[in-house]
Amino acid sequence: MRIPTQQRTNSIRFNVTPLIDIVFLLIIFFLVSTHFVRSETSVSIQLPQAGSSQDDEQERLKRLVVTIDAEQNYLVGTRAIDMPEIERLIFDGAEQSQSEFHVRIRGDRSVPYRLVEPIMIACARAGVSKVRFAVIAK
Amino acid sequence: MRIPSSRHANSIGGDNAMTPMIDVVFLLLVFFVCAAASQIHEQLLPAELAAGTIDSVQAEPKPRPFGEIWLFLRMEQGHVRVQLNQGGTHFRDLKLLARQLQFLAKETTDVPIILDIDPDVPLGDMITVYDACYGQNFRSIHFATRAESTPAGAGEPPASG
Repeated sequence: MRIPTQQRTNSIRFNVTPLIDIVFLLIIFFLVSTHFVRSETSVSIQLPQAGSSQDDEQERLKRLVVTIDAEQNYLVGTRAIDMPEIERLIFDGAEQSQSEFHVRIRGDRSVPYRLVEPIMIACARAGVSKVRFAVIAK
Repeated sequence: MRIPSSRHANSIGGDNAMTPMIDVVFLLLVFFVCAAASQIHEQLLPAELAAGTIDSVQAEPKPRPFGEIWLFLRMEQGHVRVQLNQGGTHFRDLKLLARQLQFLAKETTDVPIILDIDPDVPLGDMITVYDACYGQNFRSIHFATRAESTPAGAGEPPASG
């Protein structure tokens, strides 16, 4: 009978499989984190409250999200932007997909209406009828 | 003599290799749960604009059997005051306005509501009034614009429908 030697069972074997698993998991994690950091909802503002708000699950595509922070800056994504450029983005979006395109206004509850009105006027001029206000449910 | 089996030795090695992976997976799971818990869930309040009509010099007369409701939002000593139609009731408490709209909605919700908003009115108050109208099933809510804010003239109300 062949008896396995002690030396053979104690031999060092480097199992690479869990290492690969972890590395891939970390890659996915960093990709997802980066996506969250760049997304338009990452800018922290105090949203207004509303009782008749709706979920946005069916409206994920073809939209422009304009954030107006408490310092009264216009932001698209995390990038500061001025009104003429917002108008251009709205016109471009409307040209590409008039019926499906919508504009979402994420405004801090303290910002004056005079900052919101130009966006709505630009939408009307571009033929975009769908405007959505980001709110928190009451 | 007890002979150590090859199978026994392999099973121990496999368990040890899994431990760090399980640790990391649970760590990430906890992280995502915490991150999701602190995330505020945003919702949307829809507004349908009457697109394309903003530059019209004169609005076409439309039959409005129930008339129309004008809500004037003005800033007064740091607070928003809402006036219901020209020369109508003033509301400092927006809850009272909501109650008045509820009363009107019992009659009809077909009447168009036009919001004439002062440029200094905070967005939060504007949304509160809009939400009060929308919540009572008024679906024809317009935003009045001033002539100077549109290049091609046209002060005629609605940027909205």
